[in-house]
Amino acid sequence: MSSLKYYVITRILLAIPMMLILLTIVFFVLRIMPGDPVTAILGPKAPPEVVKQMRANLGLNDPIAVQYVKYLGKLLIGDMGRSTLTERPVLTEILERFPATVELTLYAMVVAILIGIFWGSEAARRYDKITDITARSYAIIVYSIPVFWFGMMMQLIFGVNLHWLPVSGRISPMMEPTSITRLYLVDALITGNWESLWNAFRHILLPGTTLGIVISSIFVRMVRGNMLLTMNMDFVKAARARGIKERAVVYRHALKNAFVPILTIMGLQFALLLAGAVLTETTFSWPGIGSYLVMKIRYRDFAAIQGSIVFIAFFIIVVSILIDVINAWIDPRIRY
Amino acid sequence: MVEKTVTRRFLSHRIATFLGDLSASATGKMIIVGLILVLFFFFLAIFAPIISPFNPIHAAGKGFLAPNHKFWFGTDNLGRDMLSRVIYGTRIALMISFLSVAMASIIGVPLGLMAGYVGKLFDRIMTMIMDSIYAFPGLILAIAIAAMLGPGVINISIAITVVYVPTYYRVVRNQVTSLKNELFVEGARAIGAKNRTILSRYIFPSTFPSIVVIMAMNLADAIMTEAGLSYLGLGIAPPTPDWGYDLNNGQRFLLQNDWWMVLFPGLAIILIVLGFSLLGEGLNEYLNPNIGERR
Repeated sequence: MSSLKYYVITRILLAIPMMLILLTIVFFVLRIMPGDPVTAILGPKAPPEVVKQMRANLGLNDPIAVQYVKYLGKLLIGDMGRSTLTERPVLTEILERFPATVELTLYAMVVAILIGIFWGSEAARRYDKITDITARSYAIIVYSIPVFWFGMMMQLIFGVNLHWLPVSGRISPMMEPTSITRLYLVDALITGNWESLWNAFRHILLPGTTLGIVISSIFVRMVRGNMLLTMNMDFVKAARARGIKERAVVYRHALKNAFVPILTIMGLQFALLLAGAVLTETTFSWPGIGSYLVMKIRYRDFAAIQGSIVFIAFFIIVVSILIDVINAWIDPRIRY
Repeated sequence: MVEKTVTRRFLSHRIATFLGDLSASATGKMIIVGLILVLFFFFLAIFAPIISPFNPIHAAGKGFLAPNHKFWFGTDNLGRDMLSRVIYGTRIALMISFLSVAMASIIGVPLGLMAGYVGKLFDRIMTMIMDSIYAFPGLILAIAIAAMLGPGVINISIAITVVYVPTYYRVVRNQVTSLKNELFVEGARAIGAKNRTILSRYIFPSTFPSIVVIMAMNLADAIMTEAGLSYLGLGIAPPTPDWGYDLNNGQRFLLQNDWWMVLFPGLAIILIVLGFSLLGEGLNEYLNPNIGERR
């Protein structure tokens, strides 16, 4: 146990410089840009006194190094500034929208993992046969599909033409379940609010499946590749030699052992999943941080843009630490 | 004269056998299909003014026309011919993807060569910076940069470049760190070659196959990223024909079932991305057969 604890601490310490680098990049990218945030907020015709006042309020008169240190200091206590549009704290706004993104990405992850494990294992089981070729073609073709286009096609088919499913939003108005985790599906399930559960499920079905299918292309490849490596190992041959059914060899013996690399890679794909979520949320008007970021960019709300990017970076680093720790817990060889 | 014919025959024969050999294997088929798709889009981009039936930025007929014998891909809300817009859109897609991939490799490859060869502190700092960028979702980083720089071919290319520099850096650096201890490099050093010569004449050529593969894959990714950026309204300023922008525009009329405005630009993106992916994938298996499975 102590080695795991040691590993966790080292892993967190290693993440700090990474976070710092990302924060610095975000800060300077948003600062050295040609556009002036004050002109962007007030418009080009604002009286000079007002502009001056605002510059002072936003701390834009300080030297850039001072601004940078202030910005880091504020972040440390969770202060991301106020949205210049709504004047509400950015972190509050982001936290309001964050559960929607978590719900969407988790749902998509489940879809992608199910497709990935099934197709990947089947392809490895029937290497170079028609199943394998189908799975490989699936992976390469689906990888080429822009997620927002796929989303629109789903909207056209299942929303506009068949009228089966809603094409936007997270839940119908007044249908929200009692708030506990703020993940609607989970909350509705806990409180036994079936009507709400059904409604939320119908809303997540299109965006979640869209995102899941697009991400699954990578999972299929990863699972297939890792399964092929594992299937050639001695213990798999031994299992076969003992007369265990092929299906059990594949799913119970090989898959379990192929899982550590698969999990790591899935963790790495999390960044991709979030990028996909930005587009999917925009297509389906899903009220998460992706659509928040895009909306704020339209209004050139700099504090909010900076805040959401920093938040996403933080989220990704936390997830990558979690994945590594889970891996270390499953496979003790990783703890060094 | 005779000599020339012989050479030509010889060359055409060589190409024919090369293609014949290629088409025999799955890898070869991938390369050929990818190449055909890519060449097709190059053809569209170069000859867009000749192929396009109408001007892509002026109304050619009534708005919202479904595909018919005059407008094969229908017309958009402003009555512009979708087929012509899709054909012209190839230009922006190829221009931005090639520009950004070129810039990313021009920055990333030398940095990777240096970091891998020099090692020490420089390597550690560079690797940490590059890894941080690499871990961040490329599209979101590109969104931030594009939002700040504003629309335009160069600005969008810069935004995409930043995302792909770490890819080149990482691959080149990792190869160099293992290559620099190889015998042939040591031999070069033994006969008194300068560091610069060793890097450019001995090490760089060995990293070249990987660079080519990454370039092909990046071209596919860059087209997707560009489409994503313009879909979010951060791409090229209208009325320039651009697939991502057309998808954004078409989405406004999705609920009235005007499917043709989104179907065709999307198909164009899929086909061109598929072309570059197949090419990259095929080249990867062809040039680096031993690491093919791992990607």
